[in-house]
Amino acid sequence: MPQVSMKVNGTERSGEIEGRTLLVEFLREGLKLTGTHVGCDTSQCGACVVHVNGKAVKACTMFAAEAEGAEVTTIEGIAGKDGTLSAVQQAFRDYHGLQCGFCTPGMVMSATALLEENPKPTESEVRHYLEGNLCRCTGYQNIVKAVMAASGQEVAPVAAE
Amino acid sequence: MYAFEIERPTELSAAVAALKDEGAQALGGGQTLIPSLKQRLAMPEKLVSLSAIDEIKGVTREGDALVVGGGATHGEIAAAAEEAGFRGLAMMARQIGDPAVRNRGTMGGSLANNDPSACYPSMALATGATIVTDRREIAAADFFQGLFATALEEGEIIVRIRIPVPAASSYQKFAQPASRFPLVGVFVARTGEGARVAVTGAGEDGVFRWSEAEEALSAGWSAEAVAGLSHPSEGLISDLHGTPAYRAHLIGVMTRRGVADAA
Amino acid sequence: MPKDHGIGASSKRREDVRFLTGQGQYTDDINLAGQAHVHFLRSDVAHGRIRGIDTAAAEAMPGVVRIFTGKDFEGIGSIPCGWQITDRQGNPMQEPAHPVLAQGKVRHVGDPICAVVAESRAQARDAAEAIELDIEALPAVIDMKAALQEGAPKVHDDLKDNLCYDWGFVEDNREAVDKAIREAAHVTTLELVNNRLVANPMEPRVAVGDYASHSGESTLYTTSQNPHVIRLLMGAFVLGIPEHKLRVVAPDVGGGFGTKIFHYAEEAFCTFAAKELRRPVKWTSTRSEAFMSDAHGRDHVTKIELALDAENNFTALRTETHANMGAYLSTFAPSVPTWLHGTLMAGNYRTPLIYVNVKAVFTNTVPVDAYRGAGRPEATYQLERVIDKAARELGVDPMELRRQNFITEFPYATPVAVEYDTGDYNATLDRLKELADVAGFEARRVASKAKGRLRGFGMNCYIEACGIAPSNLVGQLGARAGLYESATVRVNATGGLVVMTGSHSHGQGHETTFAQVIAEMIGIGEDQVEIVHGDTARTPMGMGTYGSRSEARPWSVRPRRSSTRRGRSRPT
Repeated sequence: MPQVSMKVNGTERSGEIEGRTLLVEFLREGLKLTGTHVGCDTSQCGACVVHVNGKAVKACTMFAAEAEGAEVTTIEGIAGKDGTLSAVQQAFRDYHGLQCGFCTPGMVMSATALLEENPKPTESEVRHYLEGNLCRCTGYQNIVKAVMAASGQEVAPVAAE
Repeated sequence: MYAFEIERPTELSAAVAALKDEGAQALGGGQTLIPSLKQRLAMPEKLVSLSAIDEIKGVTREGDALVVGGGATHGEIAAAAEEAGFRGLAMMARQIGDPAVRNRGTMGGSLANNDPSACYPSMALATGATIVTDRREIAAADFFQGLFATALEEGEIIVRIRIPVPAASSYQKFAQPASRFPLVGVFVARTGEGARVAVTGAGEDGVFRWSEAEEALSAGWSAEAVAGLSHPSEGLISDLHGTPAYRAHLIGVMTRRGVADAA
Repeated sequence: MPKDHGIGASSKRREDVRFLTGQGQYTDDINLAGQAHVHFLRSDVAHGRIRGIDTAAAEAMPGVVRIFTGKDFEGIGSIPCGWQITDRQGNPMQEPAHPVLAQGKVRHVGDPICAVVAESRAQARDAAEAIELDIEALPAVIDMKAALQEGAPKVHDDLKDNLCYDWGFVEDNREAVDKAIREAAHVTTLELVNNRLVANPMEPRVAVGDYASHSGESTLYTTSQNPHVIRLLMGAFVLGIPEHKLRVVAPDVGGGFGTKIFHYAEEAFCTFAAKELRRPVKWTSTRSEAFMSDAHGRDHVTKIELALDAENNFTALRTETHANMGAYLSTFAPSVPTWLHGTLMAGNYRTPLIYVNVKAVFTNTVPVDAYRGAGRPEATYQLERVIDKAARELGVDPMELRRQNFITEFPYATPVAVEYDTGDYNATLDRLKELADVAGFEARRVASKAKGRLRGFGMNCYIEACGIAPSNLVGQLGARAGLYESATVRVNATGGLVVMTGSHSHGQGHETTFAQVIAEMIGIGEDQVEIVHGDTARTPMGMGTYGSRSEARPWSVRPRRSSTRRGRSRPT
């Protein structure tokens, strides 16, 4: 079986893969990083979003072999080493931006990427950026509030479009 | 997915060589191919990933043209088009899929696939773009040959797309709400050779130009010039999302919006 | 000053920390040593006779451990239905067998035929494609009314017809309602469809079966809203495993919306196969598979008639609903269009005579069961729509027509078997009109129109029965299990409490809210209370979370027990 090596959350990791092994399968099954979730098979739900070389990508729609030599960040690599939540994570908690938690890792990874590209997004920009991340519990309102709060902007009142 | 091997060459020539193998298929950004592999709709023996080939990446300005690498992602293209003042392309690229998809999906992959509902073919046709491959140059007018069919030969790789930047342009996408693909997408361009209107998502044979609207707009670029025109419904797609008549109506609406936007 | 502690405090959810850092443990995150993977080969026809299954080529494929078919489940129990309805004549509903793997016939697209167990998921799916199925496609019934026609294809050959039950409620009112409608000054009739849907929680279903040969104990890890119910149904009715030899664990659950209440064939299969093969067996649904194997919701077709007198007072209400059961009876399916639906038909209104008729129908479609509100939103939808239509027909304000017919004196016994203890619907409506700025609507409508936009106004009233219980009542209504709840409070030797509850969380945040209640009752810090749920080995009894029951049921248990313990554990 071919080998793949990549830096995951700052640590060099490698393992055996098949050609058809998806990045998300390598992370979840190979590296036991089960925070990255799989909610669909059509690239729509976004529960699997990770960062590859600093860009948000759907780990279910990329082969592990294509991440050879890449720097990958997963949800497990977002909080500080001492467990301190990132601004985005903290805001999700403060503004009740999650319920069952299944979409949450992908939401946090996408929101983190958004704020790196665009530190002060408008509410509309937040909604558009999270278009590829589905949540079934919250109705999105509190997720938008959380991202606005994480960017240091006023959150209330946040109205639906 | 069925089992296959995967190769990731770093040189274009190596990729071309690898694609000569029986059952080999090119893998661009994978945003269409991987979901279809998951559904077991394709059975390649080998995938040749183009993601490590630097010479097909990047977007550059060359005179009046924007030159987009076949491996440039939608996200990169949106930013470069914005900077180049190429409104229609910027609008188009930033509406494809979602941000994570735009960080992987490529223009070369989209054009080579020629999905009848893909966005880029309308832009390529309306601007008179040239598709540059590892072996030749193909005019957009000759490139698209029906549903999922192009002029590309087996194993031919899109290296770059040379797009003359129009004086004014806009892309109007009426998105199908579940898939976010265009139910109808219209690209309008004011070019040195006159007005161009290209339509995606609607034609039974894929992307096409609306010559009647082009003539009207070449005579005078304004939404009023096309206000009285309606596209015939013959030859348009009929599916559960819309009838041919509905799509024909949308072509008129989206064209007028595009012209008004690009005025 | 807002409280910072206990009941009513705005406490941050404790479970969020693990969810936000990728440390949640969902069922698919569980991988057991030596586990094999199963892929279900499902029917791609809605109705068909299985003439032959040839697994020889598939068995020779790489990694295949064993291929199971319906034959392996002969003599094994049927997936049970947990609620029996008695029809208008006093007879029990028609109840078909529901095998774990199809036997003889397939009855809906997605009906599992073979289960391929292999070393990897991909190998299992590869091998499934090599199975040769000989299935004779039969005419299928999809439409409920067509299914009830004479000579319609029968979903179940051994049943009389496709009618599961014909239920009347309250049957004794039938003639009086018919008469009132015949004699009414005005009758508004509405036919409507409450469309079928797929629940689609973000987390697809997963089951991992395990068997410990040293103790003879089976364990099932599953994406369930109620592991104890699964233990009961699967243990007692399908696999014949006594409760003390069966452990069901539902760890973090990524949303349920009803569809994770029910006991599914895949759960029974993984538990069964783990014992057969003496190794853990895991199944993870794909989203595509979920569309044809998770129980669907709604799918009612209703005719509703509202009778009014000359002063626009409601005098009678009659409904006839066709409710799609799908091809088999899912766990609580029969209760949804009946007791969860008929009892809500009075709504907020003083309608003296109500008759609800429900025909539950088998069709060649995915089974339908409780989904978000389950029968109750359907009742409200019908009632409120018919009132709007009546207001339009009569040329009166729909809000005022409602107000005129509101129940104003409490307690109020509805003609559909429930009593409302209290309410003030006029006050609520007044407040609604103020909040929605009803008076300013016309100006907003005109302003929108000027911008080329159409603005509409809709409203409805809603009353819902939640937390259905107690066991004695639901038993009389046909429930085959009690709807009690349990909690155990344990004082840790090292300090603090552990509270073990039989209700579960699939996003509700029980670990936080329950701890708040316990802390308040006992007078200790929230951080000294740990909530445990989702494991039948740690909580002996329970019934899980659905129908908004977890606040109503367990909370009414817990404070009583807490105060008992408080008395005992306080040092003198």
